[in-house]
Amino acid sequence: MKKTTLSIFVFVAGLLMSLVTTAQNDMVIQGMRIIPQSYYSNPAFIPQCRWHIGLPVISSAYIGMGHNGFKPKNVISTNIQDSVVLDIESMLNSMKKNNYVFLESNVDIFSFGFKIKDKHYINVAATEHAFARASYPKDLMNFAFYGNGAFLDQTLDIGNFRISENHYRELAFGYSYVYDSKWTFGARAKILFGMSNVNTRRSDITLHTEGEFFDITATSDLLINTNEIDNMSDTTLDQKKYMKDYLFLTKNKGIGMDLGASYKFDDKITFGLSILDFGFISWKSNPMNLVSKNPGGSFTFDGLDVSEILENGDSAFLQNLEDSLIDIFEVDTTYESYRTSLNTRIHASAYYKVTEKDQISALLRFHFYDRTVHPSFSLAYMRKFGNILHLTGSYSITNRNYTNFGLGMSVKFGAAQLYVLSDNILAPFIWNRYTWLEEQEDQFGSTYWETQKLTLPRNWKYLNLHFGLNLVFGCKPPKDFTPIIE
Amino acid sequence: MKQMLWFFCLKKNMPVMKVKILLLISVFCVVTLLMSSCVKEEFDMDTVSTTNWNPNGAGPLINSSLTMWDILDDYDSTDLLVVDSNQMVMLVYEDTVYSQSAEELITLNNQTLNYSDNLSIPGGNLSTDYTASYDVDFDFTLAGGMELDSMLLKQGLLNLSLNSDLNYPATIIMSLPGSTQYGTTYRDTLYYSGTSGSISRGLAGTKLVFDNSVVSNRLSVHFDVIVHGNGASNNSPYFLNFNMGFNSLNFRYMYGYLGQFDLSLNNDTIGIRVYNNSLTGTVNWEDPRLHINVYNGWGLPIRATADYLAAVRTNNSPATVVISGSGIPNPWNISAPASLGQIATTSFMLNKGNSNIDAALNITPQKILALVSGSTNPNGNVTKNFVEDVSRMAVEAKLELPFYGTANGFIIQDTFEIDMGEDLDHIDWVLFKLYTNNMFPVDGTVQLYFCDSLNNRLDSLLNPIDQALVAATPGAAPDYIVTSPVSKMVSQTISGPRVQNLEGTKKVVVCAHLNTYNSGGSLVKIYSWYKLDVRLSAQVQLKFNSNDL
Repeated sequence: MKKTTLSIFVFVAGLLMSLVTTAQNDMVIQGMRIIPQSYYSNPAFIPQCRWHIGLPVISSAYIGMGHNGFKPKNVISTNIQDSVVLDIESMLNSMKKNNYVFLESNVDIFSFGFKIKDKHYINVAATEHAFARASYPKDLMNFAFYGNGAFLDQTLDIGNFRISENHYRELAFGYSYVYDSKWTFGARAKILFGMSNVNTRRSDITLHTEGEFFDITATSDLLINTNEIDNMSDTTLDQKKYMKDYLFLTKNKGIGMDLGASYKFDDKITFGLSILDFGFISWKSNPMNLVSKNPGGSFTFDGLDVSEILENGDSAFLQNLEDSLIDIFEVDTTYESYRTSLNTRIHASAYYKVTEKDQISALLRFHFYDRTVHPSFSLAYMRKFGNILHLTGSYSITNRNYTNFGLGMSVKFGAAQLYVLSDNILAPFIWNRYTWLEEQEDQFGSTYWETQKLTLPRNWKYLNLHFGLNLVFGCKPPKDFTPIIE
Repeated sequence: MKQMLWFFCLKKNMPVMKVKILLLISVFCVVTLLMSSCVKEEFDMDTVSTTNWNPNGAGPLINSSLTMWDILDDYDSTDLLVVDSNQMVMLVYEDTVYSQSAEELITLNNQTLNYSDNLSIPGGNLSTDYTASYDVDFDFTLAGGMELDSMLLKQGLLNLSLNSDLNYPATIIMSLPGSTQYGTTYRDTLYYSGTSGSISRGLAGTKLVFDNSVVSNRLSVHFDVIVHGNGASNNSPYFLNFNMGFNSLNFRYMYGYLGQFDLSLNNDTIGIRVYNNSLTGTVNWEDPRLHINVYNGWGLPIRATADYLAAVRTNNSPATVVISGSGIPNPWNISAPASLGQIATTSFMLNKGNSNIDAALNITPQKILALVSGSTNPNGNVTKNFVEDVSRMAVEAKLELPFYGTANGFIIQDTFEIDMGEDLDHIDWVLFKLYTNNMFPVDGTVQLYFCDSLNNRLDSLLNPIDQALVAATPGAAPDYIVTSPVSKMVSQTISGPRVQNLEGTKKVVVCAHLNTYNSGGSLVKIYSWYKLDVRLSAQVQLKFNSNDL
């Protein structure tokens, strides 16, 4: 018991911060070993069922979205007079240095897996991945609201707008091996086929106001790589034909790897560690790059030179100023192929079997993108109701949101398994409504006022939904079977 | 039994039942949740009010490194800053006046000759040509005692007519011995038939040569009368009456003695614009120089007189100081050029040593007046003269002011147009920072006055006034070179009611009180590499309340 408590404490002690993060997949699935797709979070965690078939397209559909900047309540509230108040300062205080809006979707085209002699597990899956993410800097909002005079001798990062978009197809071959009663190892090798991409490699526009003479220095360094975006916006192309070609693009190849390991500490406690999506894609089919003509160039405005104006005239002075600004901020278009890395994740998990039917799990995820680590943490409780129903509830700190209460359910009807999971069950169901009157004109030319409405999630920081339908077989463990986790 | 059997079955199947019921409840809950959503709060956006918005902006306005050329540009854009061999800067003001040209001053009146003589043809009726020659002296009457040796005409008209009772046709050839037209002896032909004949000829390119040995300005004329006999009766003697006129003569050049006359000049006025905007104060120029240069294009001696030299102040407390001294030559003989087309220069210079020029400049005058006149051939007909039609005399007055000396209480003021706008309600305060890095050995207290269109003062920038310019320390004599500039930062915040005072500002009056180093007590020199670095920056706190947004 002492050993158990100490192990849990050691692991949980590593969960120090609830930092901002963007999750790419739901976390609540980690504790649901009955679902074959839980294998994707750690290839060493062999699913419970002996084999499964993932029905095309509907075996795993995941959609997630969020905005980890401000929430509506940070901006809009009502005062005691029942008037709506826009509190910009509160909005700014709730933002971090970089704020993200994202939308993602992963869909299994097909999948299947099977065990061999309870020692080996093979998994094959084809998945369509798509995500889009945009970030905006807090400094720009600060600059607009407070002005540059409030940030003397500070460098404002006003240009850190990063747009990322990635659409690729993944064909993965997984293999897991039960090494001994303690250790299990697994790996997934992936062949990747990139479709479209937008990658903001650098978007550094800074503004510095010096404190003594208020000299203003701006720097610019921009590099945005895109693939197929140029074709998508080309109106001269036959769009139908293009979409056909697009859907079967194989020119942008890449490779990826998932590695995982699990360690059974004792009958109650199991630890897991995995590295996911370690790889890259080379973009060649239709690359287009927007790059600063003078990367890292800076321009300092330190005042008008009266003597130059007197000598050459103000129009010549302004022309020189304009030329300098263009020289710094002008952007070139090139067509060079490039490479992007996948958004690698590290999962560290721990499981504690309370009883045969009850389990507590913890997951610490580190997500790497935009040259930063984005961690998140999840604590879950799962309860089995026979082999038919598995229910799980979770609490997560992710995407700068501290109120993610998740719920998951897996129901087995014979060989058919239906599952629904969400890391934030409340978000889709609690809304705020915004109304206003808008002047409209009827068919007779008369104007009238009509009430318009906009209903938005109250907490839009993190919403996701993962559901699917599998065919699973051999899920009932034999009497003498010692499951990996349960 | 049946009940027991039923109960037994029920008990055996209870776990499965329990699961199924639980499953149904779960499904129901999920479906209920999915089908419904909760609107937690509703916001009427028509009642929205924002929090106040108070941005603060800061930026540089002016960053200049001003040389003397930049500083004085506004004052002396048409005058000259010159650097001497020691790199010291001096102001040079100059102006030039011109006399009338020779052709404007010397007019040639029309000349006429009337000559009568007889013609006797020997023998009886004339059937062949008979020639008779006549030499006539044509004495030109010229004003001013001129005695010309020669004169090239660029314009003129020669009229010649003959009245006679000759009953034969005749050809009269008139020539001017010694005179030429375009290099060939001047010759004209008049045809006589009946009772008279006449011709008119242009004289452009004609060089008239005069003989002054007996009578001044005598021009020789020769007539050859060729009578063409036609067998008519010979009624000799016949009378011949020649009428000859030189009209509308304009010369290109003249040689000889041109007489005595006055060369009148306009007043030569040098504007000293640096003092145009000065209000008061004293400036001591340690080495001012006034050059008077006469440029003579007349080929004859001229005696000039500096009739009047004075420094004139027209600003506050008008004053005039006559410039005098041993440096002003009297009489002043002007050199003549050696040949046609040349210019001879004669000059004199006034400085502290030979005049009171320094005292004259101490009143900070706006102009120097120089009145110079001249007269030709002061000693009479003792030297041969020559002159072109465009010959003139020019008088140049040049004032050089090396920046070497002292200044005390020198106030200069200038006005700039500016529009601050009519509504400054959104400005909470404005901070101005004025930084100077001064290499000039000049102290300056600068104030900016904000005025309306009627020049009413609304406010001033620096309150209290502050010394924005600190003099750099000049080195030792004789060069007084500054080696280290001096920096000063002056800050001023305008807030509250003072911001409102800026509304309606249409003009900014910049007023500078300047003293050279040590309150004008030490000599300084200003060199061409001296600079004044000026940086003006501003920070503005704006305020917008909910009603404004």
